[in-house]
Amino acid sequence: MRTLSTTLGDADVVVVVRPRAYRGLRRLLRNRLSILGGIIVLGFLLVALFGPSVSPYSPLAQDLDRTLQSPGIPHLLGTDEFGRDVLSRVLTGARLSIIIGLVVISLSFLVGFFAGVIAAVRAGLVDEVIMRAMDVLLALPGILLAIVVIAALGPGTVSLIAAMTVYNIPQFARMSRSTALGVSTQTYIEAAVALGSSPRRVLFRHVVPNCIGPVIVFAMIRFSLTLLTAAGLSFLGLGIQPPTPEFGAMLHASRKYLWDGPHLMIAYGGAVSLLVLGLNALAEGFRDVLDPVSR
Amino acid sequence: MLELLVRRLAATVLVLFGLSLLVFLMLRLVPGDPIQVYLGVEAADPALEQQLRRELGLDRPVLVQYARYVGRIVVGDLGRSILTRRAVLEDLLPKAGNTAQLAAASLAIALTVGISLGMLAAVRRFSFWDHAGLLVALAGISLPVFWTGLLLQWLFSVQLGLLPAAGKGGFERLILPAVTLSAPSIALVSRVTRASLLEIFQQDFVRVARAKGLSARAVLLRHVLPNGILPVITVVGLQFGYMLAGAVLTETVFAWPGLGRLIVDAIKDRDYPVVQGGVLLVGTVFVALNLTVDLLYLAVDPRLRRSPR
Repeated sequence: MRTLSTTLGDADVVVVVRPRAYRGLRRLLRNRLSILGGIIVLGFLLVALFGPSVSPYSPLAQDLDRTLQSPGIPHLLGTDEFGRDVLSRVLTGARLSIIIGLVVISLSFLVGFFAGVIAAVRAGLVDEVIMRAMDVLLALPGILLAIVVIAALGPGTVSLIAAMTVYNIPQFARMSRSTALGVSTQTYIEAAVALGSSPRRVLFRHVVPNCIGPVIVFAMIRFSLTLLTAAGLSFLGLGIQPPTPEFGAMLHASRKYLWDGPHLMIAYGGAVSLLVLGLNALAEGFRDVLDPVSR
Repeated sequence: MLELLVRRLAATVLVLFGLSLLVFLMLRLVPGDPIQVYLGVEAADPALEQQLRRELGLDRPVLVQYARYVGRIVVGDLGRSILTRRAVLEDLLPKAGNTAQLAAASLAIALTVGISLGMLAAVRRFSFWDHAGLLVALAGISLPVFWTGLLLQWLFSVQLGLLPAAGKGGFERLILPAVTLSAPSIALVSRVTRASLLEIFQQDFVRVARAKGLSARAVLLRHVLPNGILPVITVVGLQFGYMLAGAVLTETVFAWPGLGRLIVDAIKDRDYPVVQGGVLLVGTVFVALNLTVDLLYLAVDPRLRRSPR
């Protein structure tokens, strides 16, 4: 914390200047929903980091004498159709989802953000070519674009990551372009250009830093959407294949046991829903802090 | 105005060309020779292979192949299914009808519930209803549809025995899938309605309407709603498109014989002409919907006609 003191007339005036990050954090904490979201997300991140070492059983170890057991002791969330420990599978599944989500969002953020910013800054033909290509990708609504990529590459983990990246790139590009266009009409950009800054300097010192806030909020929302869509593809049998503990694949398998073991469906669906709910609640709070323009 | 229309139409045609190129290239990206893909594993006879290669035009340059491909789809020839040997379009259309039925029912639910919730939240801002609406919206975008589907199935079919769990036929089999598919759209429609109405409530003409003594109901129905509903149109148009694609998950849960299901099954069977045709159909419908929404927007809001972006 920094203080500025000055003398106004006779009285000493002390102005407390709080760093920006501190103010942002306070505003974030004022929103109860985003605190809750933050706690949930933090919990899942810890699980992703330490999941394998705290999970009570191996997620793949079968125990055919104890299949489809209801939650209780020693299996806190029960067992599945092969007697595998559901809690261990939930913990490993959360880790897998988060890792895939992070890889996908990093890749598509990198490509999409720069494609969008460059389209906005260079304008003209570059803009046309980049954005028309994105329009073509956007002609396939939602999950369909990812399905097309998987149709070409064949189901599997690598194609899932590729498909989800392609699915996210046009969204990031479009969002970054419109944000960058908004920024580049600002007078401080004009001033920087007038002062003789090179285009590269204007781009990296002025345009990119001022676009990044809203795009980060957007990235959080896309992250939760990516988790949902990736789980959806695995649910369809197009993504990660059993016996790997992935939420969508596990939910698909649990359909057969709606009568004999509904705890499977409730545990897997509940876990992935909680994670996505937490992310979305947190993103809502971040929007207030990082993107003050939109409300 | 005319220039705007022409530009918009040209952009649409361009996107459709891009789409056809994407779908054409999709088959080329598949590992292995297209002939082997067409013939399946038992492609042993070289003479048959040669003949098929010529028949399918695969001995021509790629550009010629693409031109011929576009020429065929323009007249509605999407090729033949490897599995059923029927024309792809014949297989697609009935399934597309089923998906459209599901999507239309979901859209109706999403509009009714979403607009009501959004209105309630906007009129009684910061009330219980406003907070409840936020939670509903948060749940709607966060819960995976395939899980809400399973939950509803478990609750209403397994536990209560009120509704059939799956399959098509009869109104009662439409209820659960339609409700499931509508959840994310309810979230979106209610949030957009709320935000839009709140903005209108702050306009001067609303203050004037109140000042001249109109009842709260009259202000809402005559002044706020007609002006605030515009953004909802855009959302609804796009949502219908997303539903056509997103329906694939709901269709899988409820064994609903729709287009998404057909495409996914075709991928697993490596029946590529069906995959290509299905993707092309959904994409084209989506692009057409986008165009319609834009044109509707121009029709409803004269201000947009003047400035070309």
